[in-house]
Amino acid sequence: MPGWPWRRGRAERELEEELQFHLEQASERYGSRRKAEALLGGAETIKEECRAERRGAWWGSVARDLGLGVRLLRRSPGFALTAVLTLGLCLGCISAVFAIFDAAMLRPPPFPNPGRIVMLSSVLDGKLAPDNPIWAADFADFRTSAAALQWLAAYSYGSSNLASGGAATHVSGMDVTADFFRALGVAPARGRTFAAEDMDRRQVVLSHSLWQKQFGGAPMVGRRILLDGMEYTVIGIMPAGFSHSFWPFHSQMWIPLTFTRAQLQHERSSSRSIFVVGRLRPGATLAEARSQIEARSRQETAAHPDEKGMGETVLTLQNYFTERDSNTTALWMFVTLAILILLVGCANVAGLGLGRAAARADEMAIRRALGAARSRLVRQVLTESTLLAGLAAALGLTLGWLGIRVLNANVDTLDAGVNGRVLVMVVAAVVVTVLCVGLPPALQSAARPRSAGSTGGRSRGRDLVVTAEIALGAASMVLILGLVVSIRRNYAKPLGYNPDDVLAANIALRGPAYVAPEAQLAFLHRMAAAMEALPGVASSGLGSPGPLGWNETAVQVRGRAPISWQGKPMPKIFGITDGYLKVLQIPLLAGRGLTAGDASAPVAIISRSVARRLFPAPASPLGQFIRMDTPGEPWRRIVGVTGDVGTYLGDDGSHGDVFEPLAQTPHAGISIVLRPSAGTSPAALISPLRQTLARLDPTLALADANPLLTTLRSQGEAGDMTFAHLLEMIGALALLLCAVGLYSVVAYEAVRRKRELGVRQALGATSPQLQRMLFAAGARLSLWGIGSGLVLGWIGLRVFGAAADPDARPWAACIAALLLLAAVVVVAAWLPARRASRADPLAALRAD
Amino acid sequence: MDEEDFLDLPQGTLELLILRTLELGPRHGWAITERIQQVSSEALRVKQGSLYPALHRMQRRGLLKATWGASESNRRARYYELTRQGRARLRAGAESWRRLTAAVGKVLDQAAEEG
Repeated sequence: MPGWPWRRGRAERELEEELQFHLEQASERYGSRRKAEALLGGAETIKEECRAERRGAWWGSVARDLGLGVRLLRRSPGFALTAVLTLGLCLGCISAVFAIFDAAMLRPPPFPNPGRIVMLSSVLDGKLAPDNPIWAADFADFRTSAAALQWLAAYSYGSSNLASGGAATHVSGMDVTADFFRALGVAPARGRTFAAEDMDRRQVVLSHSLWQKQFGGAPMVGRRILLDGMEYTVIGIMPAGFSHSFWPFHSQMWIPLTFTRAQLQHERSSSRSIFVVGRLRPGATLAEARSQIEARSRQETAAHPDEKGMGETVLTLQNYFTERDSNTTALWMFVTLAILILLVGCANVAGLGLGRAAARADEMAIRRALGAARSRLVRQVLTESTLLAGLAAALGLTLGWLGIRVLNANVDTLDAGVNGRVLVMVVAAVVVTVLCVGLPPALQSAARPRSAGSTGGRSRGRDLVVTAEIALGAASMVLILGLVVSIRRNYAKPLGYNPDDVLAANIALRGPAYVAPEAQLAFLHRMAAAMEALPGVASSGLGSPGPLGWNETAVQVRGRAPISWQGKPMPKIFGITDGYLKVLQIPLLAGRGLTAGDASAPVAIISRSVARRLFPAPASPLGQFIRMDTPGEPWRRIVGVTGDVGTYLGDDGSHGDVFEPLAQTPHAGISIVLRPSAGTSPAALISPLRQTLARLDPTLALADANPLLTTLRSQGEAGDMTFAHLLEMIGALALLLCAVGLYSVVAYEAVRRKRELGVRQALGATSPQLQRMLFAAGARLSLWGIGSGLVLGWIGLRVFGAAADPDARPWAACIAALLLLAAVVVVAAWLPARRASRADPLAALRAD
Repeated sequence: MDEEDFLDLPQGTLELLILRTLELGPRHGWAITERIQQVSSEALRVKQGSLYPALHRMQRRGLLKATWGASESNRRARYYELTRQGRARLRAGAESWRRLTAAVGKVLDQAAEEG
C-alpha cells in the first residue's frame, strides 16, 4: 500500500492490540489460550480483511495489486519493456488515427449552433456533388420557396489585386450575399457586416489575418482600399479564427455578391458559379428543408430536359464537409488498420502474458490452495495488465501527438489535435487493450490447476492467440500492400508533360482598365514580350487556364449529328500562346503547334484522347473542324494533335484537351509558365518576374508564383505520400509484431518441452529432427493464421481498395503478403527451434 | 457446545446485531460477541473473523466511531459507539428486518397449514 506509512504503522499497532485484547478475553473465557486461538481462527487473515475494510475493500486490494504488479514487472524488465513498447506503438498509431478521424469526421464546425447550419449540394446522377456550383437563378428560387430555411446566402470564390504602395498583392476573397455572416452566426470583431442595401456599394469586410498582415492592425473601418483598381470602403473586420482553412469559407476578405439579370433568368450563357449556405428556421427540421429543396429542384429539372440527372439537396455543414472530402473511405480504412494493429499487439502481449502465466502456474496454484479467491487472482493479473496498458498509453499518446504534428505539417487540409473526444476513444482503446492483454492469462492463472508443480499441457489459449495474431497481421499486410502499391502507382503515372524546372504563376486582369477584351489582349502581348526578354528564361508562355486549371466544355464536329456528352468526360479547353506547349514540353504527335501567325486564325490543337474519341482511326483529325459547345464559338480547323495532359499527379489526362489561341479567347485569369535556361532555378525567376509585372502595371499582383512541381506535389501527393509512408510504417510494425509473436510461441514451446526433448535426444533423436519437430509446431499455427488472414485482407481490400483505386489488384497484394509473411515465419520459428535443439540433453533433464 | 449448534447468520444481519448491541452504550469487540451470544441464549455466536472486519467496515461508513478506553479489568480496549448515522441505520434496518421476518413467517405458516 503506497503512502502514509506512519498512519499505517499506527493503525496496524491498534489493530494488533485490539485483536490481542480479544484473544486474552477469550482465553479467560474458555480457560485456555490454545482453545481460544483454535476457535477464533487465524489472526493474520482477520488483519488482512480488516485492513481491506478500512481502506474500502476494492481500492485496498487494487493498491496492493498495483504494488505487487510493479514489483513483478521490475523483476522481469524484458517482458515489461516488450509489452510497453509493443502496446505503446500500437496505441500511438491508434491515437494518431483517432485524431485524424476526429478532425475529419467528428469535430463540429466552429460556428454557433453548427448543427442548424446547412449547405446546398448539387446532385449529379443520384450522387452528391458538393463541389459542383449552383445556378444563381436556382438560389433565388430556393430563397423564396424553401420555408424551412432562413438566411439562405450565396457565395463564390474569387481573388483580387490589392494595391498597396509598390507591387500589388494577390488576395483571395469571397463574394457573398448579405445573409452570409448571419447564416454562419458570426458577428464582426469591428464594424459591421453587409446589410441588404449594401449590395450595390463597393464595400469590403476584412479577415483578421489580412487586417494584421496588410494593414498592421491599424484602425481600418471607414477607410478605403484599392481592389482591382476600384475603391472599396472597409465596413468591418471579422474575428480571428473565423476564416479557418479547414472549412469551405476560407477567405481573406468578403465583398458583396450581385447577380446580373441574365444569371437570375437562368440563361444558358451564364454558368453555375455559386455555393449556398443557410440555417434551419427555428422549429424546422433538416428533413423538411430537404423535401422542400428537392421538390423545387425536381420541378426545375423537369422544366429543363437538358439538365436531366442534375439536382440539389440539403446537407448539414458537417456532412457537406465530409462528403466534400473524398478521403472518407481512406479514413475508415485507417481506423480499421489501426484497430487491427492494436489487436495484433494485444495478442502479442497476451501471448507473452500466457507464457508468464504458465511460468507462474506454481505460484498461483499455491495461492489458490491457501484459499485465495479465483476472482482475486484474476483481478491481480488484470491489475498488472492495467499497469502495463497505463504505461503504454502514456507512451502511445506521446507518440500519437508527435505523429499528428508531423501529419499536420505535411497534409495541407489536416488540422488534427488531441481533444476530449480523441481521449475518450483512446481510453476505450486502452480498456480494450487491458481486457485483451489481461484476460487470457488471468483466466489461465485462475483455471483449476491441472496439478500444482507440473509444467502443464499444451496451451490451447496461447495457440489460438498466436493464430489470431498472425491472421490479423496477414490481413493488415494485404490491406497495406494493396493500398501502398496503388498510391505509389497512382503517382508514378506520367502527367503527359514535364513539370520539372517550370515556374508557374497567376495574374488576374481585373478592374476598370481591363474591361475591354482589347485591353486584356494588349496587356498579354506586352507581358509575353517582357517575359521573352527576361534574362535566364529559356522559353515562356501564357495559358488560360494554366496547367493546374480545369475548364471542361462539350465539343461538336462539323458535318456530324450533335454529340451528347451526358455522363462522359468532356475535354478541357485551354487558351494558350505559341510558347505554352514548348515550355511544358507537351509532345506533338501530328500536325503542328500554334504559331504567332495563328493569333487571328480559327484553329485548334487536340490531344490524343479527344482525337481518338471524335475521329476514330483511320480518319485523321487534321483538317477537320470542331466547335466548343458554347454560344458564339466559331468552327476551328484542327492543325495538330498532342499527347494528353494531366492536371494533377495521378491524372493521366484521359479527359483529353483542346488548345486554342489565347488571343481569340481573352480571359481575366491568366497563368504564366516559364522554363529557365540551364543553370537557373525556377524559384530564382520569381523576383524578376514580379518586378517585370510591377513595371507593366503596378495594380496587378503576381499570385501563386511557385515551381510547378512543388505545387503539384503539395496539392495531393504530399498528403497521400505521407499516408503511404504511414501505411508502410504500420505495415512494418505489423510484420514485426507477427515475428515477435511467433518467435515467442516457438521459444516457449521449446522451454515447455525441454524435458521431453532431452529424453528424445537421449534416445537418439538427432538435432535436425528435433529442430523440424519444433519448427513444425510453429509453422502449423502460422499456416492457419496466414490462410485466414489472407482471406480477411482480400475481403478488406475489395471493400476499401475498390473505392480508393478501381484497379487495385488484391491477388497481387495477397501473394506479396504471403511471401513476406512466409519469410518472417521461417526465420521467427526456425531461430528458437534451432537453439532449443542444440541444448545439452543432460542439462535439460537435470533442470528443474 | 459444538460448532454445528450455532445458527448461521444471514448476510447483513451481523451489522444489525452490532448496531442493536451498541444502542445501549459503547462496548469493545469482545463485549459485543459476549452480549450477542448471551441475549440470543447462546444460539448466535459471532466469529472474530467476521466481527472485526465488520467493525472496521462500519467505521469507514460512518456508522460507528471508535475510542480507546479502559476495560472492566482495567486494560486498554477499543470501544465502539453508534454515530447518529448508525442510529438511523439501526431504526431503518430493524424495521425492515421485522417486516421481512413477519412476511417470511406468514408464508411459512400458511404453507404448513396447507401441507
